Amino acid sequence: MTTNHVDIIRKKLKEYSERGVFSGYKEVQGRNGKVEFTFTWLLNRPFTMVADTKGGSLQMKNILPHVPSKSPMELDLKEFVEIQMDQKQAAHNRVDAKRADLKCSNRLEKLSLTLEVKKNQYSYGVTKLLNTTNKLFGHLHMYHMPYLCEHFEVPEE
Amino acid sequence: MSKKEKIQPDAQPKDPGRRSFMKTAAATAGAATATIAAANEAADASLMRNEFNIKRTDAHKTFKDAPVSEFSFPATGAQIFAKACKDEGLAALFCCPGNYSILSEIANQGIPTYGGRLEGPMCSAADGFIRVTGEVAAASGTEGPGFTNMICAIAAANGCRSPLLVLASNMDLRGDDTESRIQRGYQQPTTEGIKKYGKRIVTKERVHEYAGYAFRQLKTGVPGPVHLDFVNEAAGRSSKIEDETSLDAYYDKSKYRTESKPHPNPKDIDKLIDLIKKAKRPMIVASMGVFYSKAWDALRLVAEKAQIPVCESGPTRGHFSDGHPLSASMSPTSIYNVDLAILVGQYVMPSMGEYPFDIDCKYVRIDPNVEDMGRNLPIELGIVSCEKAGLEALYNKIPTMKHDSWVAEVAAARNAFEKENDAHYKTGLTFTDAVHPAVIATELHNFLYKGDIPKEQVTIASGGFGIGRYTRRRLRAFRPGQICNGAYQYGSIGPDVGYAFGVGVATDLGIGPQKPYQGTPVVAITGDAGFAYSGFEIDTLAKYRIPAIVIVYNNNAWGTWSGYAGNPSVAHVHQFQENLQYHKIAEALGGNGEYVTKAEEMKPALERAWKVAVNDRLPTVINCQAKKEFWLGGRRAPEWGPGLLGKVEPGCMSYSH
Repeated sequence: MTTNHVDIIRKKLKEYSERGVFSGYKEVQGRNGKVEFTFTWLLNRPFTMVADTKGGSLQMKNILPHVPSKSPMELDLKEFVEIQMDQKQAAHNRVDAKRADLKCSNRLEKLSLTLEVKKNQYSYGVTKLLNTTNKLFGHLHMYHMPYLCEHFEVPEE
Repeated sequence: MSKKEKIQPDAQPKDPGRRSFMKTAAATAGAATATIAAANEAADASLMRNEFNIKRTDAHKTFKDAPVSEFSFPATGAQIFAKACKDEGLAALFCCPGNYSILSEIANQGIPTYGGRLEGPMCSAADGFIRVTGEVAAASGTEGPGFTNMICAIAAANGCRSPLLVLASNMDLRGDDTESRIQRGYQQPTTEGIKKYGKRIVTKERVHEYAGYAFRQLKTGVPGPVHLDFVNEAAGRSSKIEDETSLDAYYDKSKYRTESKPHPNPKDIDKLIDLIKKAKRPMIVASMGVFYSKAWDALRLVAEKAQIPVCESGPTRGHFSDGHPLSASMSPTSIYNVDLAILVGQYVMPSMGEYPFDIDCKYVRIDPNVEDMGRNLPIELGIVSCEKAGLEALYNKIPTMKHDSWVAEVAAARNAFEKENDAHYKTGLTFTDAVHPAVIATELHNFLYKGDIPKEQVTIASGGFGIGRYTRRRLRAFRPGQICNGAYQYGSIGPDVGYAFGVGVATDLGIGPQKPYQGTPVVAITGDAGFAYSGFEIDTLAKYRIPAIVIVYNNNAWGTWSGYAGNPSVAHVHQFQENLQYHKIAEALGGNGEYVTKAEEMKPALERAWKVAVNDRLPTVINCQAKKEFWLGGRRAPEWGPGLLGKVEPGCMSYSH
């Protein structure tokens, strides 16, 4: 059963890779049955999605470095994540709480997005986590440009 | 405002309300010209300033009244080339002295010719002119340094895909590689990669033929700069051609190029309609190809029939009105949910993620250039077509559709964006010892769109780096060619006063979509860093009586200072002296100056500048005193306000794609 879930995740990510959304897709077996999928995506940076089908989660791991704990930026990003869970938003504009839970974690100033998948809805989970990451970077472009300039080499102009 | 002596002749309108100005400016061309002429006469009477003893010229009148040369053989290469330009409808030439043969003969043909202070800004003027008219304009500089002074502006025009004709003279071919006398150089390699086509013309017998090459490139396909340089033997005084039998390929434009445009494959239109039917949140991204193919009516019809929101991108705005209920140009958060993006005439393609559409978004392109299909973004469908033909074909076949909830979502995103702008303004008002950029942007918005001026009237040259992050959010385009989107793609600092001149000339002459607004003052925005590059063209604006209001965001530093403020080794590199008096420079150059140091001074300054523009046909610099510390703002230092704002593209904030 678990293998099937990884297949679903793998298939979904491969589709994006073949469509040209990502480039440089590859996967590595991690610890405790986890699988790490790495691909080049936004701002030409590598992104890693960790699939933990035993624990029932998908994680975009360490997508934002150098986010100090309890900083205004961290607080803002946590608020951003909460808005994605607001069930009053239209379905395409939120994470359906019946299908998944979105959380943001910050370890050693590295921010990760984790989606706890309910009822094994991994296909939904992959799409939703990627879309949320996409929106997060849009949010960074709008409200945290100095951070992107400093840590992602986005030109100041 | 400095004191000046003013004589009030009867011809000069007293305190023209904006509506009364609009009545006269919107009248027939003849009446508008008469009004402008009367204002110019009045301006001559009111312009002598004791303070600076500036002596005006008749430049604004003499070239319009000058006789037009009749072409006949024997003719020089320059005369032959100028005639070809005339036949092709070259709309204007912007130059500095040099390339004398070509320059003079183009002017002698009655093509409006404008001489400025620096080649770079004058080349930018040509680019700005093109971007608000859609017509071909030329820029000219002398060989050597005059030409190389234009390089940045040519690169910017290339980034915008502007059909800019770059003309430069060259020394005689006989002296190649000798460095005899001065200003020798190979020009064509210098514009490699920043032009669509270029040729060094060395043979007088082929001048007409190469004019054909040039205009074929300028007027077909995806436009771009064309660079021609003429050696003395090809265009100088000794380049006489006795009669047409000596010329190669001497036939007119109906023979050397075609007006035919590519039309879409009907099966591709069917596929597109199928994709639209399956999409829940489709969006049309309308870019510069829509403007150059004059497809704005077809675009609106498609959008309305299928109820598809439209977002603009590109170096020009206004081909889909910001006032239309389907406009998505001010709805940045709706972009994340687009599941079908139809990119029409998007010549400067974003890479994946630069337009942050939904991860499952499908991309369709309507573009005349088959070789560009699939570049940067993977396409679901590529339709090779002139944009107008493609949209017309789509309109003819697409059924009436509804996307009510999606349109409501776009509208909600727009409301949220405007609320954010209002919040920035409120924060900006809390600063009492300087003018915050949000205040400048909002006061300008209110002046242009919420007062007596009809909202589609004023054409804008929207520039500046940091200030542009605020003004782009507030500037609106309600008709084609209303906004020239300054530092698009190439991102150069400082062409803005050059753009202002070109945009002003376009409006003064009433070219293309500017015709209904002929004679209206124009507005430009720039920063203090940018003003240094092209500020001297205030003299040119004044010389030709082009009424422009140039807003200078004066924050005492380059916009980059905030990133290096904490490093004493380099912070000074990013700083200027403080409270510099750019408005006095404008006055010393024959324009008018305003210095605004508080929020409440902004509106009256705009009103006075408008009156000067209408009454005197003179430019005004409004020097807005801000603080470099405003760019420290944002979440790191909220006491300084929102800081340097970010952006999402496509939409009103776009300048990358």
